[in-house]
Amino acid sequence: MKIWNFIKKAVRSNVSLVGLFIMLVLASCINQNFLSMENLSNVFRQISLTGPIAVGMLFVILCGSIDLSVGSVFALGAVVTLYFSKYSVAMAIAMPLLCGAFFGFINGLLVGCMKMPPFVGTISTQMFIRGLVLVLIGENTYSVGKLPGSLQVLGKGEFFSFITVPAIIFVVLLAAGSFLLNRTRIGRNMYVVGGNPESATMMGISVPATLITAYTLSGMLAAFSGMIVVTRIGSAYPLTGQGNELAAIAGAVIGGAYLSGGVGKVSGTFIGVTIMGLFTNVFNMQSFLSSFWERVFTGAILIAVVFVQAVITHQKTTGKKKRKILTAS
Amino acid sequence: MANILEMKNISKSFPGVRALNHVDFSVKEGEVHALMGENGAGKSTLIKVLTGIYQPDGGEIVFQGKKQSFRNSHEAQTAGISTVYQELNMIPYLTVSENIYVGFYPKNKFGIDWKRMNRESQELVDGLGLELDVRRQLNSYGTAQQQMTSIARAVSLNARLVVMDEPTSSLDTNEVKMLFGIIRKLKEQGISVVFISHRLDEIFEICDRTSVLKDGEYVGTYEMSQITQLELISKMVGKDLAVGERRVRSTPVDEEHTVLKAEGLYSFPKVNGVSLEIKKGEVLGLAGLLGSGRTETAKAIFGCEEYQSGKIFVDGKEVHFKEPHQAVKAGLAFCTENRREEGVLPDVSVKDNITVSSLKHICRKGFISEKKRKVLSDKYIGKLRIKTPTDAQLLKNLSGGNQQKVILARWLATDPKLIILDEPTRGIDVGAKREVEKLIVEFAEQGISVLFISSELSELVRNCDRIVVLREGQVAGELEDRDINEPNIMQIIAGASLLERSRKEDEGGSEEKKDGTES
Repeated sequence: MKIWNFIKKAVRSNVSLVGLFIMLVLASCINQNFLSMENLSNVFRQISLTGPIAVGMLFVILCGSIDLSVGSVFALGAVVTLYFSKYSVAMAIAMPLLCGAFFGFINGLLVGCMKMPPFVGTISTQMFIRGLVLVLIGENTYSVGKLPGSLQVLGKGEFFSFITVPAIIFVVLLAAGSFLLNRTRIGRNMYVVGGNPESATMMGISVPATLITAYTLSGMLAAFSGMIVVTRIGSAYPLTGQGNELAAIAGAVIGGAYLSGGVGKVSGTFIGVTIMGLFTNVFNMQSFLSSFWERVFTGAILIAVVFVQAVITHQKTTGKKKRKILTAS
Repeated sequence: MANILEMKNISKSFPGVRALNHVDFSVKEGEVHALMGENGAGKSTLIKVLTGIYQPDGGEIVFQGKKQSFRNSHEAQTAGISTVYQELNMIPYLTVSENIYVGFYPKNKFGIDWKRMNRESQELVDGLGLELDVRRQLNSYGTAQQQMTSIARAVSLNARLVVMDEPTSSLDTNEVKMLFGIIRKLKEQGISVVFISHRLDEIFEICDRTSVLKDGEYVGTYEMSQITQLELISKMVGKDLAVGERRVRSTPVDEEHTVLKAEGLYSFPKVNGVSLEIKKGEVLGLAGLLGSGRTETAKAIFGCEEYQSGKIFVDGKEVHFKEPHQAVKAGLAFCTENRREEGVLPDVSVKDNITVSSLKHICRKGFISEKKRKVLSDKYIGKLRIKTPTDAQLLKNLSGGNQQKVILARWLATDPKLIILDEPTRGIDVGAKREVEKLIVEFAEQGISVLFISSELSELVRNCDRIVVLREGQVAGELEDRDINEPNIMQIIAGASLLERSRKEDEGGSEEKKDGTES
């Protein structure tokens, strides 16, 4: 009974758990090897590589905004890591993060202070940064020879052959993100700003400052993800990371974040990106459908999730109205 | 009792408008003070100056004996002034307790201390006599409870002065009682309340004193016990009531032909069973204080707002418009009171603004005929005497009065049977007002019926053939012909209030019972 209650509570706090469960069952039916340690570890590493982008995106979405530049920032992060790996490991880690934070900060200024629509502001920086990457490395794949070993550990390292370093880092990030959102003022402010920006102002919260923080973190995490990926594969091609922004948004939304802002959790986003990761894995491991179908399914799931969200919010408001009418008449 | 707040000589201008002109306002410790005035009188501006959202152009604010100039609402809150807004100003997805503590979270060494927050807010809420579980999401509660939550927030911030901007506008009778209970509790604790409401009964029930504003000017402060409702209204309207001259129709109203009939219209929460009838070519005035359900009635008729019961007939046929475009098709037109938000297309030419709703009429073989469009817009520019250099001028460059005429032209171009005008003369200068009034009469004499909503009684008296007065969402009275004059309208707006309240309380009792059985 206790377990049942626990499950009920968990599902209520994260409806996406149901989706995760269904995916797990499906995956283990389709692919006999799905539950092998090797495959699971592989799936989890895959999630961990680009998962940080979705966490950053969650911050921005919570504020009721959106960040379309993360795919480009990801590429920039990768390139900058490679470039500075020639000089020192510390710079190779610090510089991409700084770059990501810088462009995130610019996004925050555009949206928060200059009141640009988020879509326009961040798509401009997306193009700007992608162009910058092309200018920096040209049209060919960029590599700088062998990376220093301590840098390679970030992307390739593993313990007991199935606990990977990216996975550990991702778990730490999830915990930190969760702490930020639940235990600090700036994190709660993101919920308030996304819930109702006018009220946030009236309640004495600075909307621009909150947006800038969220965007800066988002940029930093995107560049961080680029860094991890590049230390794993050792080279970057100029169009790398295209579409990452959409995958990140999809992850956050499937995990229960509202694009209108104010609702969302780190745990949900984790479940969201896991569901998407399982999808990729399942598609790679079967031979009935071409892997292009993956996007079709992801799109369909997104529509379903957003539809359910809309129905829930609609019910909440109109349900209340009806109840009030009953008591008033 | 000492004054907790003194605002002296406050002035505030916006481009083109003088919102406050040397206004004085003071509140004593532990009193409930009503701030009264018609729409646009400057109440909201005064409150925003007080709470730091606007900076005054001149004057000074003394709060608790200290001269203050708040730069933002946070500073005002910290100093002890909290505001409960008309529209709910809380975050629906967060818990009740978090809404109370946003921006002022209690902390321990692991960051925000949720346990302490929940415990303290529960104590606070219990202390105010509210039945709320603070750990639940705010939007799992109704409007009233959400409002109480924002009051709880005000109290938790150690407010010494709580400003309530129309807190009762979306509450029902029981909820209002609950709110008054809390206000009395605040009073006991020596907290002052500035109370803004358009419901006179409420003002007289809960307030100690009232200050009246009119067109951004300070009219005066009165003890509640020494002023009658009628006197208070005339202070708000701002002149001694005159009988007023009335126009004479050149053509009589077609009494045989009823264009619109509404029966027992009920639209939660503002419209409680309104019935009215408009004949062909008649100007029917809809009077009443703000919040009496005038606009909401019109919107329900036009399909902008749902109605739960009642019937509407157009030309004797029953209709139920779910969307405004259905109403337009049936020959209705609606000029909104929010010209800027719901009416004009500012960055589009005068011509396009006029023809946008009647593209159907200017099409040839399914495509818009530029020639017909020009003819149509020229016709109305001439007919309505719209002052614009060319028909290609962008609408935002026209004066308010001419913008209003463009909106009128747009609706007239759809060839309506009935045109609903909601505050058509608001925010336009006196000359343009007269022009618009004249046009209204002209339409009517050409056989278009007009439902004329206005807060300016003199304008209603001058132009209407019949006036229906609304009060709390119900028809309080009707005036015809020689009975139409300002004092009579006032009497109906103010009158019979005691009777009504006692009847409402009876209803309140039975509601409670019904609630109990339902839940």
